[in-house]
Amino acid sequence: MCGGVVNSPRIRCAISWLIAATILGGGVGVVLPHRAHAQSFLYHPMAAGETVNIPIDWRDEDEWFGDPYPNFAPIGTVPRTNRYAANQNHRIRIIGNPNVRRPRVHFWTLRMNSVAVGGLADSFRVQWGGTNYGESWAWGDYGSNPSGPDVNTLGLLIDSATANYSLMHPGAYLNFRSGPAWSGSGAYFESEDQGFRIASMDFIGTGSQGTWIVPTLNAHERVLGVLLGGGSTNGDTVDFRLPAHATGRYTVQLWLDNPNSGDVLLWANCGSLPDATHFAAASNTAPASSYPGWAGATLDLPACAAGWYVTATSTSPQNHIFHLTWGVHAADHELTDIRIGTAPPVGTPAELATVRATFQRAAWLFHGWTGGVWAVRDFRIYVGTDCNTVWPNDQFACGGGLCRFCLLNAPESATCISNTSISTGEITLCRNSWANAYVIAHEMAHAYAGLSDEYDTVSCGAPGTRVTMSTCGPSVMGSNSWNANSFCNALSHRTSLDDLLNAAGSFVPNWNNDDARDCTGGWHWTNAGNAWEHVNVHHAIFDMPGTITPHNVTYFPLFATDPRFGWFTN
Amino acid sequence: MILRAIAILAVLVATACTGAEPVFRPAELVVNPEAPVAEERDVAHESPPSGPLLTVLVSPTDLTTAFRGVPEVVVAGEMLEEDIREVIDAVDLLTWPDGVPVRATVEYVAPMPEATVPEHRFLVRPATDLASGWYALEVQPLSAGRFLVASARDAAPSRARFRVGSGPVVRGVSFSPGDTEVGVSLSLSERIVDERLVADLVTVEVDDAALSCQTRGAEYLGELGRDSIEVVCPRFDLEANVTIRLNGELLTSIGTALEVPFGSSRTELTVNPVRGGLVLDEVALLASRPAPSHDRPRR
Repeated sequence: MCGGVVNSPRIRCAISWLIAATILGGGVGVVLPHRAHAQSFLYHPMAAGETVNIPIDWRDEDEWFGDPYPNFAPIGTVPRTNRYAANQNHRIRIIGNPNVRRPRVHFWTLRMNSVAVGGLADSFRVQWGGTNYGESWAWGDYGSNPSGPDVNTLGLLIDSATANYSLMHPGAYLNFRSGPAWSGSGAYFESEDQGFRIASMDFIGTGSQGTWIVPTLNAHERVLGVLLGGGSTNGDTVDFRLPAHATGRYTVQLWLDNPNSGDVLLWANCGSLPDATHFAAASNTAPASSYPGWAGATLDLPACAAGWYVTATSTSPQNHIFHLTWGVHAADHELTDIRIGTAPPVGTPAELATVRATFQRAAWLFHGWTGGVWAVRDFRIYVGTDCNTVWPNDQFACGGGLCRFCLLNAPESATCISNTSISTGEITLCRNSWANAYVIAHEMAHAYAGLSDEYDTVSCGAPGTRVTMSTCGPSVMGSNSWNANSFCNALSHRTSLDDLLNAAGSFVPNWNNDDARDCTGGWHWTNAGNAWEHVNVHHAIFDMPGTITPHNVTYFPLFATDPRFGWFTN
Repeated sequence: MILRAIAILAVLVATACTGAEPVFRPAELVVNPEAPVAEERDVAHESPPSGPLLTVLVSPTDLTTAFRGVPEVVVAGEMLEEDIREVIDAVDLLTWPDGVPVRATVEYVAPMPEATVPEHRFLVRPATDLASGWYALEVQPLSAGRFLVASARDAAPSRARFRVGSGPVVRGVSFSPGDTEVGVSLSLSERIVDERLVADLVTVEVDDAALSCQTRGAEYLGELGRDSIEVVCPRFDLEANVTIRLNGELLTSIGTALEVPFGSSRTELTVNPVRGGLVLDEVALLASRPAPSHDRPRR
């Protein structure tokens, strides 16, 4: 940061920066741009008919399906970004520079019957922003061969031949809806646990630039962006805007689909687009060496009444697909000095290292699951406390205050059950669980966001044709082992299978794809009062901007931890 | 598979230039595909709409330099058609400080259908690319009780002066008085890179006597540079005029030099902490200066 000149002031500067990074960082400082990143902020041109195909990295999958590494052996593993679970209804916004006029998404399904003919409400759609202008969509059985060649890939293309559309404005949307994942012995068994997979994307030019309008991204909107490889210092630039908000802090998270594809930078400026000399904040993607398999950048921005203008740039010769999401939270949703008590004999150096690592990741998970509504800034550990004793001693066990967490030595069992106290909000974690960030974040959702469990499954039908499904497959409040990277929402939540039955009480599937109705006209994707809507209510109370769109709960990659959240003060 | 592309680009309003005034009025309303159909209603004899105020923001903000993109006015809230027209008629783009109208159109961009905040945007598109130099985006006074213009003052237009091309300026000064010290902070429109101690970058004078000011915060600007200069000076009479002088050339990473905007001196400004307010809004101090022809810091 301060290097380049060998003299004492510079050295002092470098040292002070390192100290700051060490205090805050859990080992990894925030990577900021340097002068070599100065660039012209130009949009990469595209010739007429020029097509750039960018594979979606095969190693990135399972984002909404659930991470296969819940116990966090993170080094060498990767987040999952392009495979989608069943019982989902998601929308991804695709953005790019104004010269990209025709996007095409290649995808396939992962398992026969994943998107079965007659499958309930299965569809995959690409369309321009706005009201269904120029859409290309598919449903039905397109076959699958996840281990075989890419022969069944289907490409959905939209273009702007009759309009001046581009990925800058109005941008494209990738909508996908995956029906319920059935289980049971009936004829309607349909496993969609592995949903869809995106294989690659094409970006096609027309030789002219589309409408220049900086797109406004909605809070919690999930974005997939493209930065074309320039091979020069010009590189490529993608601009967007975050709505004005006078009081809330903004958190912007970007991560690369291919973590080894090179540097991407985020720049932000309040009130106008940033450039190399004119920015309030910037963040470079952390090198993949910091977290192998992951390279991301974070902006933690203060309130900006004029609206933040944000730019992603790259000077790399490589093409980039980046993922991005952002949230905003009010000050009273920032938690600091969360005290963690460890009941003896918990507290060895190795155990404390595990606690630090998992709680940091839990802070990120909780932040992402709540769409940025909540932010846990820091923890403090008190080793060898009486946090597991009875009232009133437990109320003062952590430095004279309540231990928000009490870590016990006993493994999860009938005599030690990780839970959250309804009366005090204190979270008790057994040995298995304080090493599992999902469990920690799940309990935080109880304690801080007031969410209930959603473990239940429902079933109906006579023996032999009984259908069983979870209340909500992807809910983190339902399970911490699968489909556990988001809250359930009104589009994917159910508490009953009644609407799948006809008047005679027999299960009747719906053959009308995409409308999510059964033969009796009932909606399959119904029922509010679930986890996400609880968060939504909270955000409305606490001065959050507008209504959160329930399509995409903010997802942050598992390893997107950095000093801004969940750091330890001791 | 269905492939469908629908494009709607409608010109709804084509208002001719009004009167003999040689000022180009934004004449064309271009509605983007997402534009909602404004609610039709009989507005005759109707009292001004009630309900939440429409918040008006101007981008770029005042004294922005190195501006890129298209200037715009953003209105947050539920707008009626007459609101939209009122805003369109109120927007001007001028050169600055000579105030020559710049030919431009105002393009209305409706909120996206699922916008979390309904932000209506009015892009002011020049007929030709803006050359390097200073411009002003002005919003004439809008209906009181309906619009809340964040940067408006009294009945004057809300004005955002901006520069196309790098040319950093001091956007404002703020004073933070303490018992024994006064913090002095300069807000800059671009990041300055300089290897000197921050305290050496400026000289603060009160009654023609230089104060011994020290660095507040980081001692150096760092490789990224900073867009503020903060020093702390011995307590001085806040009723006195304070002169702040830039010491030598303060450059951006691309070599453009910091200046005091529109002043008699490019390297010196004089302000009065009390009359400007003890806790100064950075832009407000400069924006509250006299009319454009006298556009210079208070003395």
